[in-house]
Amino acid sequence: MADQHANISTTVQNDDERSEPLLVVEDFAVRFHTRRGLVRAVDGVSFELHKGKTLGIVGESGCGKTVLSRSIMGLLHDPKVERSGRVLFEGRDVTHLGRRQGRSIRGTEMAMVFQDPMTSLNPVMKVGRQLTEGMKAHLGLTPTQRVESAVRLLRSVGIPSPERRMEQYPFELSGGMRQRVTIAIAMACNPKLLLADEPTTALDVTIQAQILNLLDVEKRDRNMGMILVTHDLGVVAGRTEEIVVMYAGQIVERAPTAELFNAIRHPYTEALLRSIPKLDEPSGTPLAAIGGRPPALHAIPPGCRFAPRCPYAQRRCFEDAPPLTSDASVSAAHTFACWYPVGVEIRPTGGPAVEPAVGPSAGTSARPTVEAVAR
Amino acid sequence: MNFQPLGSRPDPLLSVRDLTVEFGTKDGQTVHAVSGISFDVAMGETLGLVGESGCGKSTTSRAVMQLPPPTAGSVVFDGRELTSLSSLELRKTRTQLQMIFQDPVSSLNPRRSVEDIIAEPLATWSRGTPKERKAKVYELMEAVGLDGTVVGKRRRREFSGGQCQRISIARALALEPRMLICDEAVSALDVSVQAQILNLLQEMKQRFDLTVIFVAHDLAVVKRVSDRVAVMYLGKICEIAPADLLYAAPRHHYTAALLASIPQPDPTIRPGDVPVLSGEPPSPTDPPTGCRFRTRCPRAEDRCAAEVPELTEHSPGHLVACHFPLESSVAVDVLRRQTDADVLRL
Ligand SMILES: Nc1ncnc2c1ncn2[C@@H]1O[C@H](COP(=O)(O)OP(=O)(O)OP(=O)(O)O)[C@@H](O)[C@H]1O
Ligand SMILES: Nc1ncnc2c1ncn2[C@@H]1O[C@H](COP(=O)(O)OP(=O)(O)O)[C@@H](O)[C@H]1O
Ligand code: SF4
Ligand code: SF4
Ligand SMILES: [Mg+2]
Ligand SMILES: [Mg+2]
Repeated sequence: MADQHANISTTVQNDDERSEPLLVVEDFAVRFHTRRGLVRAVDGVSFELHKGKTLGIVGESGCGKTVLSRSIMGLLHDPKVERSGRVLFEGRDVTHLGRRQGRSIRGTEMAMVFQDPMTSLNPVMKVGRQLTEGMKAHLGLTPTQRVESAVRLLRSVGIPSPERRMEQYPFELSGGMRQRVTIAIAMACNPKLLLADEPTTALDVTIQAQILNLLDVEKRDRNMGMILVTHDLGVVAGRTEEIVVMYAGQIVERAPTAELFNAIRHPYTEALLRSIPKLDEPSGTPLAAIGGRPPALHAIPPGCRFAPRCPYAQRRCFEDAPPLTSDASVSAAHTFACWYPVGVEIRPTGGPAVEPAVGPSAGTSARPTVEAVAR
Repeated sequence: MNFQPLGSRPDPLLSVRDLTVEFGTKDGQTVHAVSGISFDVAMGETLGLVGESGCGKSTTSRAVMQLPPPTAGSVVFDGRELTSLSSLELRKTRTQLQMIFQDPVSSLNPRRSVEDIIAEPLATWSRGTPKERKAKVYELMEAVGLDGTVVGKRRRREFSGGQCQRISIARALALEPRMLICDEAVSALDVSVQAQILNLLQEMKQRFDLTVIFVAHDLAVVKRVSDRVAVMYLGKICEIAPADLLYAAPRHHYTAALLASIPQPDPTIRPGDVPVLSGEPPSPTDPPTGCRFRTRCPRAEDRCAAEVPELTEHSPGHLVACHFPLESSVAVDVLRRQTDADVLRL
């Protein structure tokens, strides 16, 4: 995995990005020791995020999105959890800081919103108190100031009659309202980085749109960096600057959002997009389903992890793991880990380096390897 | 109410009229979960039922199954009024009317093998000899894409959510039902597995000549599988139309808002581009007078508070319950194509 991040530090230059990144994740891995064996939930992931930007992390369930975001937050400190690589927050190494040691950073400078709002809400504490408690620990405010500030926050996240809501318990609120409260709590200490792990997966579409817009407004107003984790490519399409696609614990494709949708290179990303029902296709159109399931993370096969499900797999894919590379002639910021990426023209000279086909739909794609192009 | 609502289908397998379901709460209030809805499902048709959480989709599905029977209204399945059947007659009829639920894992008995789970309805109704039943079970497993010789003896915990849903589908098909009600059958699944199960349901529908009610909150998923779609809001139907027409030219303000809020995998659509519905649905214990959507409707006027808008046919097969429906911006040919297809199908 050493070469996973060999090529990926070049990104589009603008004012914010020339400065030091807010978050750098470098060859980061998280492994769980279990009875089944070593579960490689996150395996050699690298990316960085700048202030005021949103990074989307997408992938099927179980591909490691939650483990990645929780461990960046320092929430997975346990002797059974092994980590390697580095996480730098504003240049400070926070890789091995647990929640307690990291208290001054986590919860103040970094905050997280979860899929199920009840993960972060205390069911037996009134909403108001949950908001003011957090402020007590971190900000030197008087009790009255804390209450005023809590009311202001609740109003800013779109909760009607916030004074009344302060006196209610979480169970008295709808799912959407609860998620607004957790966002208010996350914002209470004015964080620089917000990790949102499937923040709208449990909500209805109209409420989802409200919450995503709210996150967007908060991000812009505070110039925060945001990581938006989701399984829905639709959610990240219009709301991120960059997207990382994960499969079986690894990044398989990473690109500026518009570039990704313009020219998907990795077969998994392509398959993921094709399996989503789209509104502009007529009813009755069959879906291009991806057969099978992702590999078990305690028994990862050699070669490309997507190979058993990939329509383009060749023999090589089952033997050698493809590194993350870019097609420098097109865009250095767009990286992908595939021997036979989507959309590569067969070049007239040299002939395609096609190996005997194996895999599920052998022979459907006779495409050259990308190496010659990428390196 | 009009007993022959426009948009009723010729040759319906299921006819629902003025279906009302109410629940009492501990503090003496009434939950108006479903309030006088009517629709037909034609033989061989898939009717999609969409709407946000709590709008009454599951309550409607369960009321059709008489689980529990509705507070008022009529449910006619294959010419029989279900609300007045004896319990034995009802049990018999239910073999023809099967339901699949959202949570495939908890709907399967953890202690029994897959084979037994699928065979259970056959055994209960003593269909065939044990040997014939076993053959039938293997045929069903094959149909839903499970290799019986490999997985037949396994138990629930050894299966993923998608595989559990395949097992539920096999079990639901065991008695060769005529109608299948899928209540959020793919909502808990990952996109890629969801696509597999949706395709499987389509295939089963063809193979077993099923008529389907497909309940879901995801409008794109519903469009995929449905011939017609009914949109519900707070216990009422707002709009029913052939699927492509409903999505191309919604006429109810709620349908339009719902469609606009679906995130599209298209980076050129920015968050501010689409209007977002504000607020949340009001409580079903105290629904608004008149049009139930009026508290969130951008077009609401005094009349909307005073008068309940009835579901009326605005163009062939397109029913809308709104005093001030959206302009029909449909290109005529879309309409024509739709209605032709509709006529052909029936
Ligand atoms: N047994 C019950 N007692 C009281 N209220 C109930 C009962 N069952 C359902 N309700 C209420 O009836 C309304 C409709 O519920 P229903 O489960 O049919 O909604 P739904 O459209 O299926 O929602 P979802 O998308 O969340 O599944 C809701 O307000 C719900 O809280
Ligand atoms: N505490 C744990 N012990 C062992 N395995 C775990 C633990 N937490 C998560 N995993 C495994 O790590 C993998 C990634 O999980 P997760 O990050 O939750 O996926 P995602 O969020 O992408 O759906 C899964 O295979 C999951 O079963
Ligand atoms: S073509 Fe080969 S390397 Fe690329 S995703 Fe498919 S299996 Fe993996
Ligand atoms: S009847 Fe009135 S409130 Fe209801 S949807 Fe139509 S315009 Fe809006
Ligand atoms: Mg997760
Ligand atoms: Mg339901």
